[in-house]
Amino acid sequence: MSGDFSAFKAMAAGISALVLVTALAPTVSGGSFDPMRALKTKGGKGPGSGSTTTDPTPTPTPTPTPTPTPTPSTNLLYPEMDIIPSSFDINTELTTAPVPASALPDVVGAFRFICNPGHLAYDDPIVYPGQPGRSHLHQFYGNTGANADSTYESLRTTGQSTCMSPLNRSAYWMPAMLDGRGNVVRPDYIAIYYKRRPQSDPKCSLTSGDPKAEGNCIPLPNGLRFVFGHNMLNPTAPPTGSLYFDCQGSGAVPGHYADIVAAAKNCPVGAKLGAIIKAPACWDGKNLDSADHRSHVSYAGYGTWGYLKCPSTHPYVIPGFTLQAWYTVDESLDRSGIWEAGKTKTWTLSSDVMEGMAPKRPGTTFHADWFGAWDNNVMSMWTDNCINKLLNCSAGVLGNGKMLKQFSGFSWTANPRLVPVPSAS
Amino acid sequence: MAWAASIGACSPSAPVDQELQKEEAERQALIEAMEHHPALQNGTGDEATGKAINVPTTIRPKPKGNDGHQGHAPDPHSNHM
Repeated sequence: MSGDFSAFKAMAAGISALVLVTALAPTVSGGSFDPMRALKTKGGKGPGSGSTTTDPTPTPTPTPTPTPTPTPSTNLLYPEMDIIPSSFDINTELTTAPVPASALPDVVGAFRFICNPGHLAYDDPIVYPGQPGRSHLHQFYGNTGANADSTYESLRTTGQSTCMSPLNRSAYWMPAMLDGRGNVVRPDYIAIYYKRRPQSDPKCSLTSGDPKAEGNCIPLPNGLRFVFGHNMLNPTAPPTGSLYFDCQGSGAVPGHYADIVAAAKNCPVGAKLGAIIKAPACWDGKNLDSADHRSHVSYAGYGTWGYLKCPSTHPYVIPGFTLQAWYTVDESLDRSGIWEAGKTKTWTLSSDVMEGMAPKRPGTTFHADWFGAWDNNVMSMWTDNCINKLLNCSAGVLGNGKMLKQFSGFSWTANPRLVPVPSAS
Repeated sequence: MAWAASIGACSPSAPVDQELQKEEAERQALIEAMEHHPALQNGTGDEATGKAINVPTTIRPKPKGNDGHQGHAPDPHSNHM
Protein backbone atom coordinates (compact mmCIF):
# COMPACT_ATOMS: atom_id res chain seq x y z
CA MET A 1 0.00 0.00 0.00
CA SER A 2 2.78 2.39 1.03
CA GLY A 3 4.61 1.46 -2.18
CA ASP A 4 1.51 2.21 -4.23
CA PHE A 5 1.11 5.56 -2.48
CA SER A 6 4.76 6.46 -3.11
CA ALA A 7 4.30 5.69 -6.78
CA PHE A 8 1.16 7.83 -6.82
CA LYS A 9 3.00 10.73 -5.23
CA ALA A 10 5.77 10.42 -7.77
CA MET A 11 3.26 10.40 -10.60
CA ALA A 12 1.43 13.41 -9.19
CA ALA A 13 4.70 15.29 -8.81
CA GLY A 14 5.60 14.44 -12.37
CA ILE A 15 2.28 15.68 -13.69
CA SER A 16 2.59 18.88 -11.66
CA ALA A 17 6.06 19.46 -13.03
CA LEU A 18 4.81 18.87 -16.55
CA VAL A 19 2.05 21.43 -16.08
CA LEU A 20 4.50 23.94 -14.60
CA VAL A 21 7.04 23.46 -17.39
CA THR A 22 4.34 23.66 -20.00
CA ALA A 23 3.08 26.94 -18.58
CA LEU A 24 6.50 28.51 -18.28
CA ALA A 25 8.33 27.11 -21.31
CA PRO A 26 9.09 29.63 -24.05
CA THR A 27 7.43 29.16 -27.38
CA VAL A 28 9.41 26.86 -29.64
CA SER A 29 10.11 28.46 -33.00
CA GLY A 30 8.69 26.94 -36.14
CA GLY A 31 5.20 26.72 -34.82
CA SER A 32 5.44 23.12 -33.69
CA PHE A 33 4.76 23.75 -30.01
CA ASP A 34 2.88 26.50 -28.32
CA PRO A 35 2.74 26.28 -24.52
CA MET A 36 -0.22 28.58 -24.59
CA ARG A 37 -2.17 25.95 -26.51
CA ALA A 38 -0.48 22.90 -24.98
CA LEU A 39 -3.42 22.16 -22.76
CA LYS A 40 -6.90 23.03 -23.95
CA THR A 41 -10.33 21.81 -23.04
CA LYS A 42 -11.84 19.81 -25.90
CA GLY A 43 -15.02 21.40 -27.23
CA GLY A 44 -14.12 24.65 -25.57
CA LYS A 45 -16.26 27.61 -26.38
CA GLY A 46 -16.24 31.22 -25.38
CA PRO A 47 -16.56 31.22 -21.63
CA GLY A 48 -17.62 33.94 -19.35
CA SER A 49 -20.11 32.08 -17.21
CA GLY A 50 -21.27 34.48 -14.58
CA SER A 51 -20.13 37.51 -16.55
CA THR A 52 -22.44 40.03 -18.11
CA THR A 53 -20.87 39.70 -21.52
CA THR A 54 -22.15 37.40 -24.17
CA ASP A 55 -20.89 33.86 -24.30
CA PRO A 56 -20.92 32.62 -27.87
CA THR A 57 -23.30 29.70 -27.87
CA PRO A 58 -22.71 26.86 -30.30
CA THR A 59 -25.56 26.09 -32.66
CA PRO A 60 -25.90 23.14 -34.93
CA THR A 61 -24.33 23.83 -38.28
CA PRO A 62 -25.79 21.97 -41.25
CA THR A 63 -22.83 20.36 -42.97
CA PRO A 64 -23.79 18.16 -45.89
CA THR A 65 -20.10 17.67 -46.66
CA PRO A 66 -17.96 15.86 -44.14
CA THR A 67 -15.79 18.12 -42.05
CA PRO A 68 -12.45 17.11 -40.62
CA THR A 69 -12.38 15.96 -37.03
CA PRO A 70 -11.18 18.85 -34.91
CA THR A 71 -7.84 18.19 -33.26
CA PRO A 72 -8.52 18.13 -29.54
CA SER A 73 -6.40 20.53 -27.54
CA THR A 74 -6.52 22.08 -24.13
CA ASN A 75 -5.50 25.53 -22.97
CA LEU A 76 -5.16 26.22 -19.27
CA LEU A 77 -4.43 29.90 -19.73
CA TYR A 78 -7.39 31.14 -21.73
CA PRO A 79 -10.38 29.68 -23.52
CA GLU A 80 -10.66 29.40 -27.28
CA MET A 81 -12.33 27.28 -29.91
CA ASP A 82 -10.86 23.92 -30.80
CA ILE A 83 -8.32 23.85 -33.58
CA ILE A 84 -9.91 22.93 -36.90
CA PRO A 85 -7.27 21.84 -39.42
CA SER A 86 -7.56 23.01 -43.01
CA SER A 87 -9.41 20.56 -45.23
CA PHE A 88 -6.47 20.40 -47.61
CA ASP A 89 -2.72 19.87 -47.48
CA ILE A 90 -1.41 23.25 -46.35
CA ASN A 91 1.86 22.64 -48.19
CA THR A 92 -0.02 23.00 -51.47
CA GLU A 93 -0.61 26.63 -50.51
CA LEU A 94 2.95 27.43 -49.46
CA THR A 95 6.03 28.24 -51.49
CA THR A 96 9.61 29.04 -50.59
CA ALA A 97 10.77 32.49 -49.59
CA PRO A 98 13.90 34.03 -48.09
CA VAL A 99 13.84 34.81 -44.39
CA PRO A 100 13.21 38.56 -44.19
CA ALA A 101 15.25 41.17 -42.42
CA SER A 102 14.76 42.22 -38.84
CA ALA A 103 12.04 44.76 -38.10
CA LEU A 104 14.49 46.78 -35.97
CA PRO A 105 14.45 49.59 -34.98
CA ASP A 106 10.72 48.89 -34.66
CA VAL A 107 9.87 47.12 -31.42
CA VAL A 108 7.14 45.05 -33.05
CA GLY A 109 7.38 42.23 -35.55
CA ALA A 110 5.17 42.59 -38.60
CA PHE A 111 3.29 40.25 -40.93
CA ARG A 112 1.71 41.97 -43.94
CA PHE A 113 -0.25 40.97 -47.03
CA ILE A 114 -2.63 42.40 -49.62
CA CYS A 115 -6.18 41.28 -50.39
CA ASN A 116 -8.44 41.89 -53.34
CA PRO A 117 -12.04 42.91 -52.66
CA GLY A 118 -14.41 40.03 -52.22
CA HIS A 119 -18.17 39.82 -52.36
CA LEU A 120 -20.82 42.30 -51.30
CA ALA A 121 -23.74 41.33 -49.10
CA TYR A 122 -26.34 42.74 -46.76
CA ASP A 123 -25.07 40.29 -44.18
CA ASP A 124 -23.20 40.52 -40.89
CA PRO A 125 -22.35 37.21 -39.19
CA ILE A 126 -21.32 38.97 -35.97
CA VAL A 127 -24.05 41.56 -35.42
CA TYR A 128 -26.87 39.74 -37.22
CA PRO A 129 -25.95 36.05 -37.17
CA GLY A 130 -28.40 33.86 -39.01
CA GLN A 131 -30.28 36.88 -40.34
CA PRO A 132 -29.43 37.33 -44.03
CA GLY A 133 -30.25 40.71 -45.50
CA ARG A 134 -30.55 42.42 -42.14
CA SER A 135 -27.46 44.59 -42.33
CA HIS A 136 -26.41 47.59 -44.39
CA LEU A 137 -24.39 46.63 -47.43
CA HIS A 138 -20.96 45.25 -46.55
CA GLN A 139 -17.81 44.84 -48.62
CA PHE A 140 -16.15 41.59 -47.64
CA TYR A 141 -12.50 40.60 -47.87
CA GLY A 142 -10.88 37.27 -47.17
CA ASN A 143 -13.25 34.31 -46.94
CA THR A 144 -15.36 34.33 -50.09
CA GLY A 145 -18.13 32.36 -48.43
CA ALA A 146 -18.67 34.61 -45.42
CA ASN A 147 -22.35 35.37 -44.89
CA ALA A 148 -24.96 35.76 -42.20
CA ASP A 149 -24.77 32.07 -41.33
CA SER A 150 -21.00 31.92 -40.95
CA THR A 151 -19.57 30.37 -37.83
CA TYR A 152 -16.01 29.64 -36.81
CA GLU A 153 -16.49 26.09 -37.98
CA SER A 154 -17.92 27.08 -41.36
CA LEU A 155 -15.24 29.69 -41.97
CA ARG A 156 -12.50 27.21 -41.11
CA THR A 157 -13.83 24.55 -43.45
CA THR A 158 -15.31 26.38 -46.44
CA GLY A 159 -14.63 29.25 -48.77
CA GLN A 160 -11.75 30.51 -50.82
CA SER A 161 -9.91 33.68 -49.84
CA THR A 162 -9.17 36.99 -51.50
CA CYS A 163 -6.32 37.44 -49.01
CA MET A 164 -3.73 35.51 -50.98
CA SER A 165 -4.61 31.97 -49.87
CA PRO A 166 -7.32 29.89 -48.16
CA LEU A 167 -4.78 29.35 -45.40
CA ASN A 168 -6.33 32.61 -44.20
CA ARG A 169 -10.06 31.95 -44.17
CA SER A 170 -10.68 34.84 -41.81
CA ALA A 171 -13.43 37.23 -42.84
CA TYR A 172 -12.89 40.97 -42.81
CA TRP A 173 -15.65 43.38 -43.77
CA MET A 174 -16.64 47.05 -43.70
CA PRO A 175 -19.46 49.20 -45.09
CA ALA A 176 -19.53 49.32 -48.86
CA MET A 177 -18.45 52.55 -50.54
CA LEU A 178 -21.31 54.04 -52.58
CA ASP A 179 -20.75 56.67 -55.28
CA GLY A 180 -24.08 58.41 -54.90
CA ARG A 181 -25.03 57.44 -58.44
CA GLY A 182 -26.35 53.98 -57.72
CA ASN A 183 -23.05 52.13 -57.70
CA VAL A 184 -20.78 50.45 -55.22
CA VAL A 185 -17.16 51.51 -55.59
CA ARG A 186 -15.02 48.44 -54.96
CA PRO A 187 -11.56 49.06 -53.53
CA ASP A 188 -8.61 48.15 -55.69
CA TYR A 189 -6.84 46.39 -52.86
CA ILE A 190 -6.72 46.13 -49.10
CA ALA A 191 -3.44 46.16 -47.18
CA ILE A 192 -3.41 44.33 -43.84
CA TYR A 193 -0.58 44.46 -41.28
CA TYR A 194 -0.51 42.27 -38.12
CA LYS A 195 1.94 43.52 -35.50
CA ARG A 196 2.90 42.79 -31.91
CA ARG A 197 5.95 42.79 -29.67
CA PRO A 198 7.91 39.51 -29.58
CA GLN A 199 6.93 37.20 -26.75
CA SER A 200 10.49 37.40 -25.41
CA ASP A 201 10.13 41.17 -24.92
CA PRO A 202 9.89 41.91 -21.16
CA LYS A 203 7.01 44.22 -21.99
CA CYS A 204 5.12 41.15 -23.21
CA SER A 205 4.61 39.80 -19.71
CA LEU A 206 3.01 41.35 -16.65
CA THR A 207 5.24 39.13 -14.48
CA SER A 208 8.55 39.84 -16.20
CA GLY A 209 9.50 42.51 -13.72
CA ASP A 210 9.33 45.24 -16.34
CA PRO A 211 7.31 48.01 -14.66
CA LYS A 212 6.12 49.19 -18.06
CA ALA A 213 4.84 45.91 -19.43
CA GLU A 214 2.09 46.19 -22.02
CA GLY A 215 0.33 42.96 -21.08
CA ASN A 216 0.63 39.22 -21.55
CA CYS A 217 1.34 38.51 -25.21
CA ILE A 218 -0.47 35.59 -26.81
CA PRO A 219 -1.38 34.47 -30.35
CA LEU A 220 -4.82 35.19 -31.76
CA PRO A 221 -7.25 32.94 -29.89
CA ASN A 222 -9.29 30.60 -32.09
CA GLY A 223 -12.81 31.84 -32.66
CA LEU A 224 -12.27 35.47 -31.69
CA ARG A 225 -14.38 38.02 -33.52
CA PHE A 226 -15.13 41.71 -33.00
CA VAL A 227 -16.34 45.01 -34.41
CA PHE A 228 -14.34 48.25 -34.21
CA GLY A 229 -14.46 51.86 -35.34
CA HIS A 230 -17.69 53.85 -35.26
CA ASN A 231 -20.22 52.27 -32.93
CA MET A 232 -23.49 51.82 -34.82
CA LEU A 233 -25.14 50.60 -31.62
CA ASN A 234 -23.96 53.64 -29.66
CA PRO A 235 -23.44 56.39 -32.24
CA THR A 236 -22.51 59.10 -29.74
CA ALA A 237 -19.56 57.10 -28.38
CA PRO A 238 -16.14 58.12 -29.70
CA PRO A 239 -15.06 55.83 -32.54
CA THR A 240 -12.27 53.38 -31.84
CA GLY A 241 -9.49 52.31 -34.16
CA SER A 242 -7.70 55.61 -34.81
CA LEU A 243 -9.53 55.67 -38.12
CA TYR A 244 -8.91 58.20 -40.83
CA PHE A 245 -9.05 58.78 -44.57
CA ASP A 246 -6.04 59.51 -46.74
CA CYS A 247 -5.17 60.26 -50.34
CA GLN A 248 -2.14 59.04 -52.26
CA GLY A 249 -1.02 59.37 -55.83
CA SER A 250 -0.41 62.04 -58.43
CA GLY A 251 -1.68 65.42 -57.25
CA ALA A 252 -2.79 64.04 -53.88
CA VAL A 253 -2.28 65.82 -50.58
CA PRO A 254 -1.74 63.01 -48.06
CA GLY A 255 -3.11 63.43 -44.58
CA HIS A 256 -5.10 62.00 -41.72
CA TYR A 257 -8.54 63.26 -42.69
CA ALA A 258 -11.51 62.78 -40.40
CA ASP A 259 -13.98 61.97 -43.15
CA ILE A 260 -14.42 61.44 -46.86
CA VAL A 261 -15.38 65.08 -47.49
CA ALA A 262 -12.10 66.40 -46.09
CA ALA A 263 -10.03 63.76 -47.85
CA ALA A 264 -11.81 64.27 -51.16
CA LYS A 265 -10.82 67.92 -51.26
CA ASN A 266 -7.24 66.74 -51.51
CA CYS A 267 -7.79 63.80 -53.82
CA PRO A 268 -7.88 64.34 -57.60
CA VAL A 269 -9.35 61.98 -60.14
CA GLY A 270 -7.00 59.07 -60.65
CA ALA A 271 -5.49 59.23 -57.17
CA LYS A 272 -6.41 56.72 -54.50
CA LEU A 273 -8.64 57.44 -51.53
CA GLY A 274 -7.70 55.36 -48.50
CA ALA A 275 -9.82 54.28 -45.53
CA ILE A 276 -7.57 53.21 -42.66
CA ILE A 277 -8.52 51.66 -39.31
CA LYS A 278 -6.77 49.75 -36.52
CA ALA A 279 -8.17 46.67 -34.85
CA PRO A 280 -8.05 46.26 -31.06
CA ALA A 281 -5.02 44.39 -29.69
CA CYS A 282 -6.02 43.86 -26.05
CA TRP A 283 -8.29 40.96 -25.07
CA ASP A 284 -10.06 40.14 -21.82
CA GLY A 285 -8.94 36.53 -21.98
CA LYS A 286 -12.44 35.30 -21.24
CA ASN A 287 -14.86 36.01 -24.07
CA LEU A 288 -14.61 35.38 -27.79
CA ASP A 289 -17.52 37.80 -28.29
CA SER A 290 -19.65 40.12 -26.21
CA ALA A 291 -23.11 41.69 -26.32
CA ASP A 292 -21.86 44.77 -28.15
CA HIS A 293 -19.14 42.79 -29.98
CA ARG A 294 -16.53 45.25 -28.66
CA SER A 295 -16.32 45.02 -24.86
CA HIS A 296 -14.24 41.84 -24.85
CA VAL A 297 -11.44 43.67 -26.67
CA SER A 298 -9.78 47.00 -26.14
CA TYR A 299 -6.89 49.21 -27.14
CA ALA A 300 -3.61 49.86 -25.36
CA GLY A 301 -3.18 53.43 -24.23
CA TYR A 302 -0.80 55.77 -22.44
CA GLY A 303 -3.37 57.05 -19.94
CA THR A 304 -1.94 58.83 -16.94
CA TRP A 305 0.85 56.28 -16.51
CA GLY A 306 2.84 57.38 -19.55
CA TYR A 307 3.55 54.12 -21.35
CA LEU A 308 1.60 51.88 -23.69
CA LYS A 309 -0.42 49.37 -21.72
CA CYS A 310 -3.52 47.28 -22.14
CA PRO A 311 -6.26 47.96 -19.58
CA SER A 312 -6.16 45.69 -16.55
CA THR A 313 -9.54 44.36 -17.66
CA HIS A 314 -7.97 43.24 -20.95
CA PRO A 315 -4.52 42.00 -19.96
CA TYR A 316 -3.78 39.87 -23.04
CA VAL A 317 -1.94 41.42 -25.98
CA ILE A 318 -2.84 39.82 -29.31
CA PRO A 319 -1.39 40.63 -32.73
CA GLY A 320 -3.37 43.69 -33.77
CA PHE A 321 -3.93 44.51 -37.40
CA THR A 322 -4.33 47.67 -39.42
CA LEU A 323 -6.66 47.53 -42.40
CA GLN A 324 -6.29 49.94 -45.32
CA ALA A 325 -8.80 49.96 -48.21
CA TRP A 326 -7.75 51.92 -51.28
CA TYR A 327 -10.20 53.19 -53.92
CA THR A 328 -9.44 54.81 -57.29
CA VAL A 329 -11.04 58.26 -57.35
CA ASP A 330 -13.31 59.20 -60.23
CA GLU A 331 -15.40 62.26 -61.04
CA SER A 332 -18.31 61.08 -58.93
CA LEU A 333 -16.40 62.00 -55.77
CA ASP A 334 -17.32 65.59 -54.88
CA ARG A 335 -14.08 67.38 -54.16
CA SER A 336 -15.45 70.77 -53.05
CA GLY A 337 -14.87 70.09 -49.37
CA ILE A 338 -18.49 71.06 -48.76
CA TRP A 339 -21.25 68.63 -47.86
CA GLU A 340 -24.90 69.36 -47.35
CA ALA A 341 -27.09 66.55 -46.11
CA GLY A 342 -29.53 65.44 -48.75
CA LYS A 343 -28.07 67.77 -51.35
CA THR A 344 -24.46 66.88 -52.08
CA LYS A 345 -24.10 63.84 -54.31
CA THR A 346 -20.82 62.17 -53.49
CA TRP A 347 -19.24 59.03 -52.08
CA THR A 348 -20.60 57.72 -48.82
CA LEU A 349 -20.29 54.56 -46.82
CA SER A 350 -23.42 52.43 -46.86
CA SER A 351 -23.72 53.00 -43.11
CA ASP A 352 -23.67 56.81 -43.53
CA VAL A 353 -27.05 56.85 -45.19
CA MET A 354 -29.62 54.44 -43.85
CA GLU A 355 -33.37 54.38 -44.07
CA GLY A 356 -35.07 56.06 -41.15
CA MET A 357 -31.92 57.88 -40.07
CA ALA A 358 -30.61 61.35 -40.92
CA PRO A 359 -27.70 61.16 -43.36
CA LYS A 360 -24.35 61.25 -41.66
CA ARG A 361 -21.37 63.16 -42.97
CA PRO A 362 -19.65 60.80 -45.44
CA GLY A 363 -17.18 58.51 -43.77
CA THR A 364 -18.13 59.30 -40.19
CA THR A 365 -19.71 55.88 -39.61
CA PHE A 366 -16.58 54.05 -40.77
CA HIS A 367 -16.22 50.76 -38.90
CA ALA A 368 -14.99 47.27 -39.64
CA ASP A 369 -15.52 43.69 -38.53
CA TRP A 370 -13.25 40.68 -38.22
CA PHE A 371 -13.96 37.00 -37.68
CA GLY A 372 -10.69 35.10 -37.32
CA ALA A 373 -10.26 31.78 -39.12
CA TRP A 374 -6.57 31.28 -39.82
CA ASP A 375 -5.12 27.83 -40.33
CA ASN A 376 -3.46 27.28 -36.95
CA ASN A 377 -0.23 25.86 -38.34
CA VAL A 378 0.23 28.84 -40.63
CA MET A 379 -0.78 31.32 -37.98
CA SER A 380 1.85 29.78 -35.73
CA MET A 381 4.39 30.22 -38.50
CA TRP A 382 3.93 33.98 -38.79
CA THR A 383 3.40 34.45 -35.06
CA ASP A 384 6.47 32.45 -34.08
CA ASN A 385 8.68 33.97 -36.74
CA CYS A 386 7.51 37.33 -38.06
CA ILE A 387 6.19 38.46 -34.67
CA ASN A 388 8.25 36.62 -32.08
CA LYS A 389 11.54 36.91 -33.94
CA LEU A 390 10.90 40.61 -34.66
CA LEU A 391 11.01 40.21 -38.44
CA ASN A 392 9.80 42.51 -41.19
CA CYS A 393 7.51 40.18 -43.18
CA SER A 394 5.59 41.35 -46.23
CA ALA A 395 3.67 39.82 -49.12
CA GLY A 396 2.68 36.77 -47.09
CA VAL A 397 6.23 35.83 -46.14
CA LEU A 398 5.99 33.71 -42.97
CA GLY A 399 9.51 34.21 -41.69
CA ASN A 400 10.49 30.55 -41.74
CA GLY A 401 11.58 30.17 -45.35
CA LYS A 402 8.02 29.90 -46.58
CA MET A 403 5.36 32.26 -47.87
CA LEU A 404 1.72 32.14 -48.83
CA LYS A 405 0.95 31.36 -52.44
CA GLN A 406 -0.97 34.08 -54.27
CA PHE A 407 -4.30 33.02 -55.79
CA SER A 408 -4.44 33.09 -59.57
CA GLY A 409 -6.16 36.21 -60.85
CA PHE A 410 -4.90 38.76 -58.33
CA SER A 411 -5.32 42.27 -59.67
CA TRP A 412 -4.02 45.66 -58.54
CA THR A 413 -7.20 47.30 -59.78
CA ALA A 414 -10.75 46.35 -58.91
CA ASN A 415 -12.45 44.49 -61.70
CA PRO A 416 -15.23 45.43 -61.92
CA ARG A 417 -14.62 48.69 -60.11
CA LEU A 418 -18.27 49.71 -60.06
CA VAL A 419 -21.18 47.41 -59.30
CA PRO A 420 -24.80 48.59 -59.35
CA VAL A 421 -26.48 48.55 -55.97
CA PRO A 422 -29.70 46.59 -56.32
CA SER A 423 -32.84 48.09 -54.92
CA ALA A 424 -35.11 46.15 -52.58
CA SER A 425 -36.83 43.21 -54.24
CA MET B 1 18.21 81.99 -40.62
CA ALA B 2 19.35 78.81 -38.96
CA TRP B 3 17.14 79.51 -35.96
CA ALA B 4 14.13 79.97 -38.26
CA ALA B 5 14.84 76.62 -39.85
CA SER B 6 15.06 74.91 -36.48
CA ILE B 7 11.76 76.46 -35.41
CA GLY B 8 10.21 75.14 -38.57
CA ALA B 9 11.58 71.71 -37.82
CA CYS B 10 9.89 71.81 -34.44
CA SER B 11 6.54 72.93 -35.82
CA PRO B 12 3.47 70.87 -34.82
CA SER B 13 3.10 69.60 -38.37
CA ALA B 14 6.58 68.05 -38.52
CA PRO B 15 5.79 64.91 -36.46
CA VAL B 16 2.56 64.40 -38.42
CA ASP B 17 4.44 64.73 -41.71
CA GLN B 18 7.03 62.24 -40.51
CA GLU B 19 4.31 59.82 -39.53
CA LEU B 20 2.64 60.22 -42.92
CA GLN B 21 5.92 59.58 -44.67
CA LYS B 22 6.59 56.50 -42.55
CA GLU B 23 3.13 55.10 -43.22
CA GLU B 24 3.40 55.68 -46.94
CA ALA B 25 6.88 54.16 -47.02
CA GLU B 26 5.53 51.05 -45.29
CA ARG B 27 2.66 50.78 -47.76
CA GLN B 28 4.97 51.21 -50.74
CA ALA B 29 7.34 48.60 -49.35
CA LEU B 30 4.43 46.14 -49.09
CA ILE B 31 3.32 46.93 -52.63
CA GLU B 32 6.83 46.39 -53.89
CA ALA B 33 7.12 43.12 -52.00
CA MET B 34 3.81 41.93 -53.48
CA GLU B 35 4.91 42.94 -56.95
CA HIS B 36 7.93 40.71 -56.43
CA HIS B 37 5.85 37.76 -55.25
CA PRO B 38 6.88 34.85 -57.48
CA ALA B 39 3.27 34.35 -58.56
CA LEU B 40 3.21 37.81 -60.07
CA GLN B 41 6.39 37.36 -62.06
CA ASN B 42 5.53 36.77 -65.69
CA GLY B 43 6.16 33.24 -66.84
CA THR B 44 8.03 32.06 -63.77
CA GLY B 45 5.52 31.99 -60.95
CA ASP B 46 3.46 28.85 -61.48
CA GLU B 47 4.79 27.09 -58.39
CA ALA B 48 3.91 30.08 -56.25
CA THR B 49 0.46 30.56 -57.75
CA GLY B 50 -2.58 29.21 -55.98
CA LYS B 51 -5.89 28.27 -57.49
CA ALA B 52 -8.13 30.79 -59.17
CA ILE B 53 -10.95 32.04 -56.97
CA ASN B 54 -14.53 32.91 -57.77
CA VAL B 55 -15.73 36.22 -56.35
CA PRO B 56 -19.37 36.96 -57.12
CA THR B 57 -19.97 40.59 -57.98
CA THR B 58 -23.73 40.45 -58.15
CA ILE B 59 -25.51 41.35 -54.97
CA ARG B 60 -28.56 39.56 -53.67
CA PRO B 61 -31.31 42.18 -53.35
CA LYS B 62 -32.14 43.25 -49.84
CA PRO B 63 -35.48 41.80 -48.74
CA LYS B 64 -38.23 44.42 -48.52
CA GLY B 65 -38.85 45.70 -45.02
CA ASN B 66 -35.28 45.14 -43.92
CA ASP B 67 -33.80 48.58 -43.71
CA GLY B 68 -30.48 47.43 -42.34
CA HIS B 69 -30.98 49.83 -39.44
CA GLN B 70 -28.43 48.98 -36.83
CA GLY B 71 -29.89 51.27 -34.22
CA HIS B 72 -31.32 48.32 -32.36
CA ALA B 73 -29.12 46.36 -30.01
CA PRO B 74 -28.76 42.77 -31.15
CA ASP B 75 -30.09 39.90 -29.12
CA PRO B 76 -26.96 38.78 -27.25
CA HIS B 77 -28.24 35.25 -27.19
CA SER B 78 -28.50 35.11 -30.94
CA ASN B 79 -24.73 34.97 -31.33
CA HIS B 80 -23.38 31.59 -32.22
CA MET B 81 -20.01 30.15 -33.03
